[in-house]
Amino acid sequence: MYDEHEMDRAGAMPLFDAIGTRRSIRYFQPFRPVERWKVEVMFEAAQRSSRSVNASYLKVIACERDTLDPEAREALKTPTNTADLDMAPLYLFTYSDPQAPAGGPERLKDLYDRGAFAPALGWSHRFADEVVGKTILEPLLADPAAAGWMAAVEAAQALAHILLSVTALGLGACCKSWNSDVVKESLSVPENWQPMWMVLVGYPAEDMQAGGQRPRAPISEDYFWNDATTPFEATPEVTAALEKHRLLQPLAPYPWRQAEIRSIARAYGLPEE
Amino acid sequence: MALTGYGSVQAWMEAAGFAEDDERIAVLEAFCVTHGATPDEMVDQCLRRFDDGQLKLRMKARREWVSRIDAFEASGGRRQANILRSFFVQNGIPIQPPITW
Repeated sequence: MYDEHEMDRAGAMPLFDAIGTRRSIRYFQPFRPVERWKVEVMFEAAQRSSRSVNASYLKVIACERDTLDPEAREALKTPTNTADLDMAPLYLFTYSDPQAPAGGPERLKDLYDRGAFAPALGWSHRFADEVVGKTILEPLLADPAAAGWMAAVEAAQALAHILLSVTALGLGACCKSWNSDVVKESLSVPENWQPMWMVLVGYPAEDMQAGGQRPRAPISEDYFWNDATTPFEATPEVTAALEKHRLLQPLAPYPWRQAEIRSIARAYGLPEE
Repeated sequence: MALTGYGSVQAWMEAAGFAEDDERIAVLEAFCVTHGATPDEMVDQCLRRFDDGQLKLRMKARREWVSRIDAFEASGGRRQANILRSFFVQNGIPIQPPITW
């Protein structure tokens, strides 16, 4: 049932806080379903992601755990996700569509008419209509490696929106590898869709902090200024501000983390050690 | 050889943090006797060892041991079965039982 109070709370979560608070949540409340309206929020957030030729690269089939064929559910289980699949009440089967750029010229002309593109940057209806198709899109769509790369990159941007909206909605999610063949027929998955992650979603059985923020390499290791030999260094004042706005949070493990995991394991009958 | 002399048992004790006189040793011993296998043999059946020291899961053998633990649980209960699962898990063989709630 739609809950205006919960929607207001989700909508009020600052972006930096959502980015900093997002974790891979691995313990869920199995008895508490995810409301349909929250799935709708996730999908609308995904649909707002950056994307080339305004194409819909990400395809998602949301399935409630208990509506899945029991045999298929069993077949989805792997050595490391048996309990996860039991706990999570919602599975998002995610795919990328390498053929999504098809029809790009029409969408580009529409964007032109809406003021996204303009002659100032060299755009015209004729360029979109007669040049983009032959010069860019047709060769791209004819090259499975290039089309697959483009689809994966763009679909992942949309998936990131889903993961952040999950956090804002007070839910948890974890991306899992999966055997997509298990549900391909029963879910009527089109032949050209490429499987991405199976995203397990639910209300966290663990604290949203999940023991604290995961350690990441300093930005100077992965980001550069002007060339790839000049590390981009963090500055104390920005670091302090990001801590204040919760993009940077205390690192795992919190002192109580092991006790929390044991408690959940005991509650669900899982091995504690 | 005493059960605690096996490398897989020593690895388990160290990772899970318990001593030789812990009740868990007796549970594992009973399971080994039932199936006529040593702890190291059970682990070796589930893991293929490569020359470079890396290991690969043998899925079929793992499934067989999972089934045996599930059968053990039917008589011994979840807590005792989880002791066996802990032994496999701490030796690099992931096993998760269905959750109870």
